[in-house]
Amino acid sequence: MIVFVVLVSVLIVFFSIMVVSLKHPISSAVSLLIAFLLLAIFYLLYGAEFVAAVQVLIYAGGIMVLYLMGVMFTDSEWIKITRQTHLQAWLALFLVLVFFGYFGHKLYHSQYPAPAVKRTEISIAKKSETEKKLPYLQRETNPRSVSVALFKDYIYPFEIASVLLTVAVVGGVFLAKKEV
Amino acid sequence: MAISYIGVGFLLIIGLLMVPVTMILGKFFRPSKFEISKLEPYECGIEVKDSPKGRISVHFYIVAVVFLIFDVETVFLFPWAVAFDKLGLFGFIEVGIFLLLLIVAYIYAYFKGALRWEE
Amino acid sequence: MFSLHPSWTHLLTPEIALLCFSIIFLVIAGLKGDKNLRKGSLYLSLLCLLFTLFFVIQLFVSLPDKEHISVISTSAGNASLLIDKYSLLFKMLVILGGFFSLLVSQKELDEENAWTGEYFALILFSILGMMVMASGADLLTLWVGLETMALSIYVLAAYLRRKESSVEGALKYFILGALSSGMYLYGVSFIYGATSSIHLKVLRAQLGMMITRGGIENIPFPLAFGLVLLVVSLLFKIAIVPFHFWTPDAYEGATTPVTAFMSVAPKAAGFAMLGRIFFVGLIPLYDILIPLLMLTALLTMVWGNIAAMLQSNAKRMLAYSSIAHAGYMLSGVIAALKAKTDEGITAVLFYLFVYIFMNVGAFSVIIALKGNGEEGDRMEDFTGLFKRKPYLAIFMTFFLLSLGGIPPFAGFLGKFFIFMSLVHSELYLLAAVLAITSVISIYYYYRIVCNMFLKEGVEKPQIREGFLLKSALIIMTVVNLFLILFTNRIFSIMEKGSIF
Repeated sequence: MIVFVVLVSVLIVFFSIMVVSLKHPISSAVSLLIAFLLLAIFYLLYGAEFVAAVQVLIYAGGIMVLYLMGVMFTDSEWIKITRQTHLQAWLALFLVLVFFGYFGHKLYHSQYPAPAVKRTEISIAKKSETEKKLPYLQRETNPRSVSVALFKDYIYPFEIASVLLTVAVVGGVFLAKKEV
Repeated sequence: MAISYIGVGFLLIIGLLMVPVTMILGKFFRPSKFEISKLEPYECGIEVKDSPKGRISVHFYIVAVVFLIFDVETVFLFPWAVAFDKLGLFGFIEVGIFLLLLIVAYIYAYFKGALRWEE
Repeated sequence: MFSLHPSWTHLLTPEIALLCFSIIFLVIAGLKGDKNLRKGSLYLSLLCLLFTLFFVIQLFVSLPDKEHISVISTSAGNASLLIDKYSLLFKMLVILGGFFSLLVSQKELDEENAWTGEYFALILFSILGMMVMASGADLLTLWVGLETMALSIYVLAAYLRRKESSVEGALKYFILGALSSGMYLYGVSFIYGATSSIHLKVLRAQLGMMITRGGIENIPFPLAFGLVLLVVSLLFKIAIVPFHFWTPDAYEGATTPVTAFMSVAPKAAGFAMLGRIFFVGLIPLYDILIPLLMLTALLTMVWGNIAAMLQSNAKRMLAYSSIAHAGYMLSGVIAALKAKTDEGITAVLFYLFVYIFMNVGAFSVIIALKGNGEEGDRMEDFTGLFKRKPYLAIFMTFFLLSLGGIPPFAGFLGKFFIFMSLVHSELYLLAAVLAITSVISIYYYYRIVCNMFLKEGVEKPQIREGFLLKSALIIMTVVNLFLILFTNRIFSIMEKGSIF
């Protein structure tokens, strides 16, 4: 398990660096796509199946389309004449490494008290014998627990999210559409 | 948890290997003859008029935005479908309100002509 | 056990009503209607906001004091939505801000020929988002409200989408706003990881437990990191120095009624959210929060006022002055944090109430000056205004003096209450800086007054206001002049907005 986690993490970091360092926008978009898909695998490894599905559906499916659109809107000729690096890049790299080192060190040595997560794991383990007899769709799987949280505890944010999506439709159509 | 996805993992690896393996195998078996027409993007199809570079109509973008938003809507419906037996009527009404508002958004986009192509 | 409050429909009437109203405007926007329908929708939207305000006031009157009613309780028993007088007062302020911004927008929409249904729908949607921000009690509800508000306002900032400055300002606002939203979520994910809850009450309990066990050092690094990100993104939203860069460009680029809206309503909602998070969630951390916030408040007051002096565009100047005013209000929050009483909160509420009238007033004069292809927001546009339109110049003087905090105008009262709360909680440095920077601010407000009265202007075409703008100007002038007579009454209403 840990081997997979490390492998996938390294690949995610590699492709994320590719996104910002490749010259052609389409190539960096494809690297981004691969990074998104790897991230979905990463979520799967930690048992967050629903989040993994959302990652594939929205990021790899939807957001990527928008990215490619954005690339196609821009004139790709300017890439040849614009310099891709800046003198500040070295300073930025230095600062990033310093911050990364500091935060990585701190996060590595700090403890994550996450009682709630552990508790559910235990309860799932206890239940598993009776659970196994149930048909698959009635077992306490990750999407089912997500949905109970979403549709019961977080009912209000869920309903407001529909307002948010409506505003997004209005904004997108209104700003991009010619005046009627 | 993750162990149940081992089959998917194998499928992924086989899928990734498929392209390079067949290409390398093909190199051994096929005759290699150079012809100028082989360099064309569509070897037996439409002739290329100009370079694909350049800008495209903003209309694609509207379609993409509308697609993305209803994609997000689907994601919200997915967990509802999975736990439908648990949520019952309460969940049904809840999702009904959610969908109602998004249908209004859809009607707005429709009447604005966001989905119509000709200008 | 998960439960809804038995009378949740009653408690959420304003939100439900506003949602239904905004759907009406969305349908109007979708229709191919003629211009008259769209012009009529302005009156309709004003009526809708009045109705919503009425519902909020009705709730406010019927609710007992100092009680936080939990509308939705989660399965763990935490409140995720609170209706109390604190949130209702902020909702009233937000609706008032929206109402007056709509009241002054008729002329601008005529000038730009930009009558659309979306304008009204987006304003109502953003007010709905702000109302969610005022009453959310967990970090997710607050975020969804914040995002609904912000997304609507990005679009409103780019409302004149054929104008380059408008699009530029909106783009800057959007990118920086998205960055701050991302910081908020990143911070919340760390907080969730460390406390396994996003409810402010739980956060407070856990923080209190950690601090009593081993002091500030006992807080684990991930939690501290998340909290820093959370606080920074909140300060970003209310434009506190050093997180204020988006403000001048967004304010200048947006069409003026939208600027007026952006400067009052989101600020009120931002303070509602900030107050909720600080006083319900982060209060055990007051030891470190106070010095940090004091530093930013000092910077904000000083830099906002100094930068405002250097501007040659009236809208930019008002943008920087709004940054300075946010600094004054933040000092009120700090006073409440220090003294752990409601006095500072009351002062902030009172200030926000007054601020709506003076700031929208100043922006509406700029709207009145617009015409014949001129924006009306440069300093030169004010020259000789007294000769051209005497009462407009006098109104503007009232608003500016009120913003500068000169007695007996309303702005003085706002500053006075904040000053008193600072003195009572022994924050003398902040009080002194507030007084000094207010004096500095008079300099740049006076520059416009000077231009209007003392300088000879070039001959310019006639200024037309229109009925709604005129009535808005008169209402706001009257409030600015005579609020002092009703100070006690309004103060006692604001005192009910207790968070403790």
